[in-house]
Amino acid sequence: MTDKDRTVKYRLRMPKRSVSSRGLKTKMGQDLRSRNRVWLLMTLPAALWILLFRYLTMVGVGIAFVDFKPRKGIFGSDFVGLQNFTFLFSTDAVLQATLNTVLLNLLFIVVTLAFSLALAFLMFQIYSSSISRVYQAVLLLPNFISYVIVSYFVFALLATDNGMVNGVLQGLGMPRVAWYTEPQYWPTILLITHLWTAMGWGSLIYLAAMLGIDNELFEAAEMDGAGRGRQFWSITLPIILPIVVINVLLALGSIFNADFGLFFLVTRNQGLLYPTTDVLDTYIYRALTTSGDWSMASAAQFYQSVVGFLLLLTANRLVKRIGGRDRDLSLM
Amino acid sequence: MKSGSWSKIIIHSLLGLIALAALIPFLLIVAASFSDEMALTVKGYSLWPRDFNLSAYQFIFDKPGRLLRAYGNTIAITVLGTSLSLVMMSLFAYALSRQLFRFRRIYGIFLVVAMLFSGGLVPYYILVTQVLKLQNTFIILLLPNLIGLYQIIILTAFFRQLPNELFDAARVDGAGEWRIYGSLVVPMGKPALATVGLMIAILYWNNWTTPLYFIRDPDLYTLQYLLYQVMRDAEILALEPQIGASQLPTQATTMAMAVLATGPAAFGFFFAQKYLVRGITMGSLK
Amino acid sequence: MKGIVRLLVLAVFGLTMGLNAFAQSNVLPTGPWSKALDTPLKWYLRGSTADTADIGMINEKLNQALETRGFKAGVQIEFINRPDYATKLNLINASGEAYDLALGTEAWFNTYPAAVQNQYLINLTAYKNPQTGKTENLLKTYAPKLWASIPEATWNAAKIKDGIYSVINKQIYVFTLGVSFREDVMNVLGLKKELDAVKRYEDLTPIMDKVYKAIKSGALKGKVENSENLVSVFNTCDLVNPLNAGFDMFNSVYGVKYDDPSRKLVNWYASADFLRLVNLRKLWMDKGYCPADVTDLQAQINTYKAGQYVMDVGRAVKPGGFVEQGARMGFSWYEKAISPAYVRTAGPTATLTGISSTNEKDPNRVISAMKLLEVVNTDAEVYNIIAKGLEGVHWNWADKSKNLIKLVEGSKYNPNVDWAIGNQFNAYYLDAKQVGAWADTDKLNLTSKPSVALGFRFDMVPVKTELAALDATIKANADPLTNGLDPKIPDSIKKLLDNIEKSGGPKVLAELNKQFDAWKTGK
Repeated sequence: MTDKDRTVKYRLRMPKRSVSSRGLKTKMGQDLRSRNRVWLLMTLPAALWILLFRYLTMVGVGIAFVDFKPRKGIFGSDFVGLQNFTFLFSTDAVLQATLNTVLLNLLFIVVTLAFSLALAFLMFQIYSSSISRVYQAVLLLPNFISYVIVSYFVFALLATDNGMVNGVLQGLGMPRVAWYTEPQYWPTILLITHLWTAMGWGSLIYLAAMLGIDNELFEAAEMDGAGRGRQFWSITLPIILPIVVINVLLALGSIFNADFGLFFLVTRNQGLLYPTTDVLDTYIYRALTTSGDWSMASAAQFYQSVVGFLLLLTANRLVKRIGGRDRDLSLM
Repeated sequence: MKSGSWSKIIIHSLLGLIALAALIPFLLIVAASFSDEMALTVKGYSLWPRDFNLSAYQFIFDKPGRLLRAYGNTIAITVLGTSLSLVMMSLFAYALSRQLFRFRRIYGIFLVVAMLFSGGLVPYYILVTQVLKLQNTFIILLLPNLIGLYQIIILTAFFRQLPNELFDAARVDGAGEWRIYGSLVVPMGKPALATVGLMIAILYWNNWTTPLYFIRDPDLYTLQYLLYQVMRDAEILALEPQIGASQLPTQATTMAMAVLATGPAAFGFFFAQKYLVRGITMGSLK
Repeated sequence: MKGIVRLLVLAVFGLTMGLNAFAQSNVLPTGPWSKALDTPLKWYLRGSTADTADIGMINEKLNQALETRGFKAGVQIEFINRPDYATKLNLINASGEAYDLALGTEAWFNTYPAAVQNQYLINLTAYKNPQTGKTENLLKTYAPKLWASIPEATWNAAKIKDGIYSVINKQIYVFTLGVSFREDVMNVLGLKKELDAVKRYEDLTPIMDKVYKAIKSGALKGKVENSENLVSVFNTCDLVNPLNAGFDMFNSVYGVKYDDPSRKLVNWYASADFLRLVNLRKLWMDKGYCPADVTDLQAQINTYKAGQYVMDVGRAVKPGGFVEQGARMGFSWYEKAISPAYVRTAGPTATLTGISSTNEKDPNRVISAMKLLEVVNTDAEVYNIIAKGLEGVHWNWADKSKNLIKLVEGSKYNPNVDWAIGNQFNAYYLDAKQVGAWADTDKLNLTSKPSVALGFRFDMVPVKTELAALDATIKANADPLTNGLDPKIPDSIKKLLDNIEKSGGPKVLAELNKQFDAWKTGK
């Protein structure tokens, strides 16, 4: 049943009481105190977890600022200030990795957004037919597969000798390509792989949002002669904008963090592909495995989250400014 | 819509093509699991099994114990964990969504700081093994994914948009916050709860790092971790000399394991998705 | 409502399954062991838990055997799965979790230099006993036979900053690379004499030509299977490797030639050998002899088993190694070493066992651990309990005079990690063809020329930033050359060298020279 019906039913059930306005105020006053107590109680379980697993361990941030010697512990190790952070800016290789991270993530965000919106809109059009459920389910399936398996079948597709893609190319009379040795194709390859997992979610969320739009608006537009495209830009998009913005903002917040499974496992850590696929996370991982240096890894993690967060704040402020007078699209 | 069945056909074809593309990798894996190992090596992967062969599955079902236990563990963790998580997070999010909540601002900062600064692996490991002493237990498989900070934000944002007048009306009529939560917020919040629930469930299902760090007892392995073990072990064994070693898992066996690990979950999801999607898109179709 | 009920039912079901939620899982074996220490010595080994299901039994029998030898403390060995070992040991060490002994390697996992840098290990040659206040040399005092079994020059390979922090697990130190050739193909084409005459890698080219022609003419039909798409018959082609030219490398870029008396530091990528090998690799690649992709090893093994490959270039060759090769890949293989045989710094320290510093305040534990290593490394019976299992239960004698055994079918204990435990030369043979290999290997170790830089350790900490960048540069720029894919070799080499300069190469070289000179004068 709809919200309206529920409200009506509820009101009919409860008897009306008349209260004086002054009585109401004090009642609300006491009321508020007790309600606050309940609210506080409600927050306790989750808050305890956060305290335990996030705040208690936060002391580990200190590892980034000391010359960490595990036997001495964090507080016993020598303080070195920002020295552990210098490696993030000192060489071309790491700067290239940083650039790759940001640019590739940006590419992912934009393309995934466009693709998910398009898919959602298409499914919206045929929502009445039962096959649409099948599409939705199929699109969500890739989420159940871990990147280890993904790397296997990407290899099955792209292997030089026996890969399916090369098989098709040969069938069409074109020369084979040694995919794992050509860096220029990989932004696209990784994008497609990422899209494969991400489009199910994105399209589902946007579809849900679209379904919340009052049908009368569409009918009115139809009568005015607006085509589907027009409807999308003038009706659908503006109304679901809050959810779109939230998604994009959250994605921006982690733009400095790359999906490790994707960039390490799927590329099979092939050095030839580093110019376009090496990202901050894989670079750090390799450095950590060879040098066993926790301080460096911790510094990198700190750097990633802080910069990402600053970006999120900036974007959030921008959104606040751009958003219309009547609604606040920002996250906080 | 009178735009005609023509456009409907186009749309269906487009979506159908994309859905098919999404399915191809699955088909490759399934086909490989039913293939003969040598044929797979010589001729490569394909959409159809090469020299249809059940040996991979025979090998696994010869000693099904590990797989079944892992299944049991993973299902239990996912169900328990997701339900617990939803309850804890939604309570938190509801309180946070109330304008009049005295600690709203503080909690906001509390959340943001937690998202911003992460202590890293070593303190986490010390916390679990030395402070809480929960290594090698069932419960440690539940704890790490119990609260998702992003998910709390999503829930809070959603709850904030629920009609306040309704709640005020209920309050005036004497309903306590618990009552409001149970009879109003939860039913109305089904879309967000279903979405977040699915996210958390998938996180639990796919988690393989928690067993990696904390579990040594094979009876407590989860599905993805078992899969990871089998696959990586095979790769590593290939590097090291073996004489009289136990049988090396082959590519086909690895693929069969993957099918068994993900297949039933995918099927289950397929049937559950009807309720799920209805939940997510609920209240929308008038 | 129904949905909620369903959910509750599932939750209850899950709860009953998880009733032992707080109970510690009892996988670690316990037993009535002896009692010189509060808890038995904990020893982490890397191996498959599935293959070592009988570890409880082994621990028990091991402790009994140790007791009869006068060893009073108890031991508890725990196997950690191979894929997890690196991560788990990293965490165990970093968090200060208490244990006594663990397997380490030079560069593979639980890496030795990093472990010493982080103070995870006890200095075996200069341990400060808190009870007596004196500094003792644990190795010489409590493990004299173990100390004597390895020449001091070799021990020096494990020396970092005036201390030896781990026991060397004796196995082959010498990494000669060469070829592995399919025996049946060799016999059919009558190539044995030619193979034996091979002195350099270039000599292999005419042999490869012959094989290729034979395949094309169908002479090897039934012996070598080739799919329509597969062109290469010679796998790996790991040619461009500094070991093939006699280099002792200190990091990915700089090293010395093992027999260079002047001990001059050289950039491998600028050397004439590099150019020579790259050209050879390219030649083979152009002829179609080498595979285009670097496949994962499991797929490689399958291609061997399928009979597709004839020759393996660049694999390590050691006495008795061909038996392992055959077991892994099927068929029978003939091996020929090509690269020079010498002992480089990273050779002896390939596998090590270290004593954890978490218990350094308890000298009883430390000394017991050292005594345990003495027994395990010198007493063949004890060693083989750990390495092979129990007689009659897991294996039986095939020929006692030759130390040859046969594993029991379906044995629940077959770790297959001889080199992880200790002196591998004490292990019983599993295959008749292998008999005698240990003695030959030991001889090889002792007679091979040690590198002029044996014993020098490069402290990487001052230049760790540059090293990380260098490694990334090398991987990106050198791989095409190493894989024979680069058409413009001179230009690419120049670009590679330029990039090395830009990524901090000179700084690393300067630091390396400084340390190396100090070591040279100190000797």
